[in-house]
Amino acid sequence: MIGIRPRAAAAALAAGMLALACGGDNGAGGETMAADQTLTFPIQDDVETLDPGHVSSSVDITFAQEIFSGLYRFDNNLRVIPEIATGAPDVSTDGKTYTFKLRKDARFSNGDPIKAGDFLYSWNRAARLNDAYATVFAPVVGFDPTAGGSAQTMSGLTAPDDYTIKAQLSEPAGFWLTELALWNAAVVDEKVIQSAGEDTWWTKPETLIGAGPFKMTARTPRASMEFAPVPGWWGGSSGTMTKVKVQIGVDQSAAIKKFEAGGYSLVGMANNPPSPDEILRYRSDPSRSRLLTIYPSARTTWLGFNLVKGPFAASTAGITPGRPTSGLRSDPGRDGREAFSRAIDRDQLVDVACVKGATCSKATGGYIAKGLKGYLGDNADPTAKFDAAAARAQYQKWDPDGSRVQGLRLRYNTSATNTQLFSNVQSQLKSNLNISVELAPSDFPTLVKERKAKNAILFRDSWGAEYDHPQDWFSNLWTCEQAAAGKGNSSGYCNPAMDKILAKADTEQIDQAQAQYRQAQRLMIQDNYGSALQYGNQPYVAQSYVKGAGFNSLYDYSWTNIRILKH
Amino acid sequence: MATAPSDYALQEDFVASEQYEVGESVSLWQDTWRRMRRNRLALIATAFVLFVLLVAIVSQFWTPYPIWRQGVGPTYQTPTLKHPLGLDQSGRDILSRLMGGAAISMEVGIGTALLSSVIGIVLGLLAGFYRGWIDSVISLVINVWYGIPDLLVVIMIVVITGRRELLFIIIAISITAWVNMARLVRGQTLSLREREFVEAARSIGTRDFSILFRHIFPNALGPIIVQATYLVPSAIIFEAFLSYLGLGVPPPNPSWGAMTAEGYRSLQYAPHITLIPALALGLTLVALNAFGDGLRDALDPRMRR
Amino acid sequence: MTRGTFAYVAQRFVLIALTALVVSSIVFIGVHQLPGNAFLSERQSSPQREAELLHHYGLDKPLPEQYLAWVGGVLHGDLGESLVNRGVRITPLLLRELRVSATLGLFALLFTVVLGMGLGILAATKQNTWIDYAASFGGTVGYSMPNFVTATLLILLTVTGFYAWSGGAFYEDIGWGKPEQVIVPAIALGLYPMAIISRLTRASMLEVIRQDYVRTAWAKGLRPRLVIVRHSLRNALIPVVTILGPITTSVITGSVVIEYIFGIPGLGKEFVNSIFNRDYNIVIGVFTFYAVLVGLANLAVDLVYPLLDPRIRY
Repeated sequence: MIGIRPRAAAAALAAGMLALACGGDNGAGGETMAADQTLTFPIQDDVETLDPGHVSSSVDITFAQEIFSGLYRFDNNLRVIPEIATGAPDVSTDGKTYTFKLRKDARFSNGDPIKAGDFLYSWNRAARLNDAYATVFAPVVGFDPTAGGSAQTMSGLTAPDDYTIKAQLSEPAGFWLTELALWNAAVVDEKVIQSAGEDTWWTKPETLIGAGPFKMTARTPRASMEFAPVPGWWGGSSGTMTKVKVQIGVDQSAAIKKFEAGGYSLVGMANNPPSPDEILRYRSDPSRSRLLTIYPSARTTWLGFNLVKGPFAASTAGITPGRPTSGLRSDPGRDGREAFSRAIDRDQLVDVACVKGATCSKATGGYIAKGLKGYLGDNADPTAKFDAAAARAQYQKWDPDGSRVQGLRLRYNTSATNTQLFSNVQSQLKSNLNISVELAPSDFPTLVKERKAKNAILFRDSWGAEYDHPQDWFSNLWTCEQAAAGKGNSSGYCNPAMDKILAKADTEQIDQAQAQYRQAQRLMIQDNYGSALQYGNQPYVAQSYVKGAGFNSLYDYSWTNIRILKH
Repeated sequence: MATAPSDYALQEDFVASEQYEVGESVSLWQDTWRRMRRNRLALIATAFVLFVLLVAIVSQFWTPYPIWRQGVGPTYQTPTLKHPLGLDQSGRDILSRLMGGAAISMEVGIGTALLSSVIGIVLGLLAGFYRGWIDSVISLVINVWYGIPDLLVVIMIVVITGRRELLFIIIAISITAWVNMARLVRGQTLSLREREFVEAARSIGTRDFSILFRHIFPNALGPIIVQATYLVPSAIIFEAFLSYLGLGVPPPNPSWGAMTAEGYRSLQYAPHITLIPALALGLTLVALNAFGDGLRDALDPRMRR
Repeated sequence: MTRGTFAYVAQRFVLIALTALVVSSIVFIGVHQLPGNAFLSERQSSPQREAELLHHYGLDKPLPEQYLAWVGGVLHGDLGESLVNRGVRITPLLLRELRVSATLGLFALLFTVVLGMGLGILAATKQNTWIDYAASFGGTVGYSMPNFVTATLLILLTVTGFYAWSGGAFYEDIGWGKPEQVIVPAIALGLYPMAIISRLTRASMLEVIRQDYVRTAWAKGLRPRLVIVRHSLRNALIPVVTILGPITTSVITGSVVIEYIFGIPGLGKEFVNSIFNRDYNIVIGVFTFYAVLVGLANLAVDLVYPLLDPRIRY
C-alpha cells in the first residue's frame, strides 16, 4: 500500500515497479505452457458499457481493467501500485495538494503517446459525465461545478508540464489515492473519442482504445467478444495469453457442461458463478473439488429497517429523513429490530440460501465484509448472535398483540439467490417469532427507488465494496447526508456523533484511521441499524491446467497472470 | 383379398353394448354415467382426480410439516422414512409441499374454469342469439384474441400489474381462456336457435332471457361441460408455466410449477426435488384430460346406437 | 394466381400489419405504465445522468409523442434501441434470433406433423386394437404434460443419463450451435402439438373411412393401402391443415419456456430475459414480431387450403 512518507513510498515504489515489470509470472519455474494460450469463459449478460466514464457493473469492470490503465491500479492483493505514475505522489503537508509524475513511455494501444493533458481530459470528462463513479473526483477543487454542468474543467487540476499533474483538493482525503486506482480514473484517448463519438467509441474494437495490456479484437453484441494482448505493451509483459474469448448469453448449467467437456478454461470470471448444482456436485466429488475455489467477495447483505417511519422507526412521530435517528431520548423501534436480528439463525440461513454455505458465509462481524479493512472480527456483532428464546421474549414485550408487524412486507429484488435468502428469513421469523411477513419481490430499479425515498419498511440492503477502504461504505450508505430523501442511506440512519468521527477519519491515512472507522461501526451496531445476514462468496471453477486465475474479493485477477499449462 | 374388416374400421366403433330393456327410459345423464363406467381409463382417471382433490382439501387442515418451514432437516436430502419424499433445497418437507401444491393447482384449475366458463357462456349466448352487431363485436374480439399467443399476454399482464395473488392469476388466465368456450357456445346457440322448440317458445311470447337460459343453454350443456372440464388442466398448465418463469404465486406457496423450477438448479445433484412435483403435475393433468375425454366420448351422440 | 387470390392475399397482409400494430400498441402503452425505469442503480446515479439517459431514449417526451415516434420507426422497420445494452439496435438483434427460433420451430413442426399424422393414421387403421388405445393414451400424455416437464425429463435422460451411464465419456451439450442440438428441444417443443394432431388425424381419418366412397373403393377390390392413401388422406388432411394456424401459435408459446430451459438464443429466451431485465423496448419488439409471425402462419395455412380442397376459392 503506497504510503505518503517518502521512504516508505520508495520501498513500495520499488516493489510496485518490480511487479509491473514482470507483468505476470512467466512460468513459475518448470511449467510447460500449452501451445494454444487461449482463455475462454462464459458470461450471462452482455457488457453495459466499456467507457471508463460510465463503467459501474462488475461484469464491465473485469474487462475495463484489462483494456484501460490509469496512474495507479490494484494488484492481485488489492494493494495500490503505480501504473502510469512513476511512483507515489508528492503530498503537501496540509494533505491538500498532490503532485504526480508520469512515465514518459506510456502509450495507447494505437500508439498515441500519453501525456498529462490526456489525464486532465479524461478526469474532467468523467466529472462532466457525472455517472455512478464520478465521485472519485469529488475531493478535487472545482468538481461540483463541473459535475453540475456549469464548468468544463475542474479548476483544481493542472498540468505544469507534459509529465506532471497537480491536483488541489478542497479538503485532505486519505482515501483519494485508493480511489485513483479505480477504472474511472483511467486515461482515455481524446482524439479517438472526438472522432468516433461519445456514445459509440467503445462499442467497436477499432475505436476501443485504452492504455492497458489487452485490447478488444472482435465483438458481436450479445454473442461474443475477443481480446488479444497489445503488442509491445509499454508496461512490460502482458502475460502468456495470446487470446481471450468470451461467450455471452450462456446459461449457467450449459456453461458447466461445456466446461466439463473442455470447452471453457474457467467459469466464474466477470461475476458469473457456476450454478448451485455444480457447486454441490464438485464439493462432494473428491476428483472435482480441486477445481473449485471459493473466494470471499466483499459484499454484505443485510436486512434493513426503516428508522424514520413505521414500526421500527426511532420515533413514533416519525423523523424527517436527514434528521438524527440516534441519540434521541428513546428509541421505540429498537427492541423490534434487535428481536428480528436475534431470531435469525445465520447457520441455517447460510446453509439454505448459499448452497450449503458455499456462496456466502454468515455475517457476524459487522456490516463491512470480512477480509476488508474495517471488518470488526468474527462474532464481534452481538446482534447477530442467534438466540430464539431471548428474541421471542424481547419481541413479545415489544409487540404483545402483533399489531406492529401487521401487514409487514419484506422488499427485495427478484433473483434466485435473494428468493432463497429471504424465504428463509421469512420461515425463521415465523418459526421463531411466530410472525407472518409477506415477501414482496420487485425489479431492482423499483426497489432502489423505494429505498431511496425511505418508503421501504423492511428490506434487503446490500453493498459490494469498490475499493478496500471503509470510506467507500460509510460515505455511500450511512451518513446523515445520505439519509436525506432520494439518497442511498435506505434506512435513514443518522448519527451526528458518528459523522463527526468519520469526517476526521476520512482526512487521515488509513492506518491511523482504521480504529476510528471501527468505532463508528460499533456505534451503528449499538443503535441496531440493521441485521447483517451474510458476506458473499465468489465461487470459481477452473481447469486443472489453468493457473493464475482468481478473485481478490473485489476484482478478478489480471489476465496478465493467467497461464495455460500443457494438457 | 378380403382382409378382416376390423382393419378398415368398418365395424361400428364402440358399439353401445348397453342392453336396454324395451321401453326403459334413460335420462341423458344416467346414460352418460353408464357409458363412462365402461371406459376403464376414464374411471381410473376420475378416481385419481378425486384423490388429488381429497389431498388438496386435507392439505388445508393438515400436512405432516408446515409447507413453509425451512430447515426441518438437511437440505437436498433424498427420501427417508421421516420424510418420505425427501427435502428440498431449503430443507422443507416435499410431501407436505406437494399436498399444498395440489390445493393450488385445484384452486387455479377450478377457479379459472368457472370464471372463464361464465364469461364465455354469457358472451357466446349473446353473440349466437342476437347476432347483428353484438355478434360482430364479440366475434372480432374472439378472432383477434385467437391469433395472439396467450401465454405472452398473461405474462405481460402479470408483469405490468405486478400482482401475484392467486385470485389475480386466476383472473389473468381467464382473460385469455374464455375464448374457446365462447366460440363453442356461440356455435351451439347459432344452431339451436333455429330449432322448432325455440320457434315455439317465441311464438307464445316467451322472453329472450327465458329462451336463452331455459331452452338453449340446457341443450348445449353437454359440450359445455366437456369444454369446462378441459379448461381445468389447461389453467393448471398455465399457472405452472407462470410459476416456472418465476411469475406465479410468490414463495413460500408450493405451486408444483414453482417447485419444479426451483429444483432445476440442482437437477443433477438432487433430481428428486424436480422430478416429484413434475410427475405430480404430469399425472394430474393426464388424469384430468382422460376424464374429459371419457366424458366427451360418453356424451357423443354419434357413439350412441 | 387469379386476381381474386391476389386481392385476398393483399387484404390479409393489411390485416396482419394492422393486428401487429394494434397488439404492439397495446403492449407499448401497457409497458409505459410500469413504475420505475431501467436506469436506476445501487450506486449514486445523478439525476442529471438519469435525465440524459431518458432523453437519449426519448422517454422524457409525453406518451403520445413517444408513441408516434415509435410508430414512425416501426414503419421503417426500426424497432429502436435496447434499454439495457446501449447501442444495440433491436431489429437486427431480433432478426438474428428469429432465425434461431424459426429453425427450432420448423424442426418441432416437422416432428409434430410427421409423427402426429403417422400415429393418428396408425391408430385409425388399427382402431380398437391395443395399438389404438396405446396411441390414444400416449396422445393424452403428450397433450397433458407441460413442456417444461417433458424437457426436464428429456434432459435428465439424454444429458445427465448418457453422461452418467457412459462414465463421462459421452456428453451432450445443451445449448445451440451444433446441428444435433436441435433434436432434444424440438422433441420437447413438438410433443404437445403432436398429441393434438395425432388425435385430430385419427378422428378425421375415422370420419373419412366411414364414408361411402371409401366403402365403394373397398368394394371394388382395390388394395387397402392405396384406398387409404389416395382417397382418405387428402380429405383427412383438411382439418389438420385448419389447425396448423393455432398449432403454430402454440409452438411459439411453447418456445418461450423451451428456449429458456435449453439456453437457446431465440426470440422466446429474449422475451423472458427482456422482461426480467426491464428492457421494455425489446419486449415491445418481440411482441410485434410474434404478432406478424402468427398472422403470416395463418395466412400460409389459408393459402394451402385450396390446394387440398378445390371447392374453396378466394
